[in-house]
Formats: sequence, structure tokens, C-alpha cells
Amino acid sequence: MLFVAATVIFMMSCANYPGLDSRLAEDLVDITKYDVGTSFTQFKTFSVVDSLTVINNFHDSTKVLTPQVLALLNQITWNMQARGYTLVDRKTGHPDLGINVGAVIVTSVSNYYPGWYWDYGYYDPGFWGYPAYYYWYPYYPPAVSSYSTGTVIIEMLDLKNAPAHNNKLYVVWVAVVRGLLTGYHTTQDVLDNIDQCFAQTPQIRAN
Amino acid sequence: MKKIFFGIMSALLLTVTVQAQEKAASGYSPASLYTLSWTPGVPLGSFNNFINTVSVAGGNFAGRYFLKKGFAVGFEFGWNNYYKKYPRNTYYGNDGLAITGIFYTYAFVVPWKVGAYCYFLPASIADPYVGLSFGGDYMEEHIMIQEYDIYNTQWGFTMSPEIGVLVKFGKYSHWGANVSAQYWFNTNSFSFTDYKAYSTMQGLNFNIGLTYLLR
Repeated sequence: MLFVAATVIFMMSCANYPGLDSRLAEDLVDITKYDVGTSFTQFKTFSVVDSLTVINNFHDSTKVLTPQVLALLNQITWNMQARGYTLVDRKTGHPDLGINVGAVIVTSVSNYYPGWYWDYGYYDPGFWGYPAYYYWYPYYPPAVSSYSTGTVIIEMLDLKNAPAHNNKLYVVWVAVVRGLLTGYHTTQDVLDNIDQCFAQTPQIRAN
Repeated sequence: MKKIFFGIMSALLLTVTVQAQEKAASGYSPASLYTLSWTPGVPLGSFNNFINTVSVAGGNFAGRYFLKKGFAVGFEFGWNNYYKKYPRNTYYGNDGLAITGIFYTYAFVVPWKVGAYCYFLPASIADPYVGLSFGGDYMEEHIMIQEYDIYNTQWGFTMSPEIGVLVKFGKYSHWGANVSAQYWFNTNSFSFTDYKAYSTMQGLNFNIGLTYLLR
């Protein structure tokens, strides 16, 4: 009887799914979410930040522009243009959409609320010409409970309707690519995963 | 010569027949029995659409009480884990969410049932039987992609016909082996997206167990 019981318990433990740590270490994951209440065809122009904010713990964020980061930013631009949007200058072109790009490069950051990085060296809303505003998700954003090294965060801001949103810059689309800028991935990996983020959000289109 | 041959053959046949009758008649009919089983499971139908893998992680415990010769009522409870790893793919939620990556599906089934059973040769070494049990199934269904664990938990009505055989280890042994096949279905249903919905779970379990019999 004990033998059968031991066998059953052994077989049960064999078929358990892998723990969270194993799943996190497994591969690149592209997570996107858009505001289902937003019509993306109302926007025609966009602008992208000119460097990437590296979110390093809480207080030590810096802006970087490596060749790989430049490729990443250019790929975002290429995808937006392929969807019919026109790139304009951030200051003089009055873009309808603004796109922030950040990366978490530490593993000690965990269990924070969505958008926790907005207050710690991220792009200030004033960067987009709205200094008295703050960022806002008009939906429940992806609840990423921990950030692995190299996680890239892309946020698309609704600048066109900012005056109607009571001092809030709505983040109408967010993309999180886990493990992208670890140094272990090629530039082609970077480009492929940016493409995937757009591919899984066909709602982003100007026409 | 012919007479001798037929005489020997007749004697042998008679001996075998008498031994067989003695074997059948000389055992005992149990008053109750308890079985602990390993229960590999195969998902069928809609459940198979959610997770098409064989569960080797499962077990159950059953008790049966004979009301009269060959007819028993009983209970059983158990569990089965089903888990499968899928290659990199895109999963779409219905709230604007999309996730691309390696993902896992996982299901946990815990049946609690009572039933009635008919044993055809209760006093023999090998005793085939059929049964029908019903009750409630607790189920969990998970889709896991890294830190995302999207899941449902629920209870549903379940029913399962069963066919099997109980083999005693000896004429007077309290121990035996039980092997059976058990089809089951329940009324559980769940959906993760608008277009991926599952209803009426079904499966086939094979029970391989050790039985303790009481006179």
C-alpha cells in the first residue's frame, strides 16, 4: 500500500508545471496591451524619443543611445510608418502620438505597480510639452510582477486629446519585451521582437 | 487403446472442471474493499482541445460496501494533473492584451463521487465488474506565460461509467489488484478569450490499484 502511495505522489510531482523562476528565464516574451476604447485611426502623426531611458533601481536612471538602441528606435519608427503614421518633430510638429522607450537593467526590481518607473528618471510629461500633466493608463495595464534584466518598455501616449483628459497623458498602448536588452541577444532579435509587438496589435493603424 | 485414451481424457477434463469449480466456489465474497490507485488519464473532447496530453500524475482512493452478493455501493475521490508545454505562440485576451512566448496549459481535476457496482464473480479469484458513479468535480484550468497565470476554478456535476476486474492474490487473501477503465464527463465549462471556450469536460482514466478486502 505504501509503495502505491509513494508511486502516486512521485508521479504527481513529476507532472507539476515549472515554477515562476523557470518560466521567467525561459525566453523572450512580448506583452502588449492597448486601450480598447481608443480609435487609433484618429491619430495621423507621431514622434519617438531620441534615446532610451535605463531604469536602474529607483534613482539612477540615465539616457543611452547605443547602436542597438538606435536600431530599436528606428524599428519602432519603421513600424509606425508602415501603419500609415507620419513622423514629425516632437517640438514643432505637434505629434498626435508620443512614444516613450525605457529599459529595466536590474533584477532587484520586483512587485511594483504598473508605471512605477514614471517617477524615477523616466521621461517627464514636460518632455512632450505638457509639464503640468501626468501619465495615466485608461485601462488596467499588464501587471508585470517582476522585471528581469533587459526588459524593454514602450509606451504610446495620446497627445492629441491631452487637453480633454484633465491633465492626464493617456498611455493608449504599452509593450513590454522581457529580456530583450540583456546583451545576449542580437540586433536582429531586437528588431524581430519589436515587429512582433506591432504584429500582435493590428489595431494600431492610421487608416 | 481408444478406450484408454478417452478414459484418460475424461478423467483429466473431470479433474480440471472440478478444480475450476472448487476455485470458483472456495473463495470468499468480501463485505467491503478499499483501493488506492494510480490513475493515468486521457483528456477527450473539449477537454482535449484545451490540453491534449496524457496525465500520468493522478490517483484515487475508493471504498466499496457489498449490500448483497455481487452488488456494492461506494465512494471515491482522487485527482489528476494535466500539463503541457507549448512552443512560442501568441495568446490574445479580450481586453486588448496580447502575449507572445512559450506557454503552458495546466488542469487539475478532483472528483468526489458515490456509485453503485455489480461484481459478477465475487467469490472467485478474478472478479469482473461494472459500475456507475456520480458526484462533483472540482477543476482548475491555467494558462501560464511567464509571470502570467490566467486561470479558472469551478465545480461541476460529474458522472462516470466504469468497467474493471478485481484479482485477489489468493483464495483467502485480503489483498488484491484492481484494474479498470473509467470514462468521465462533467458540466464544467470555461473560456479564456472570446473565441476559446471549452464546455463539458470529458476524459478516460485507467485505474491500476492495490485493494484491501474485508470479509
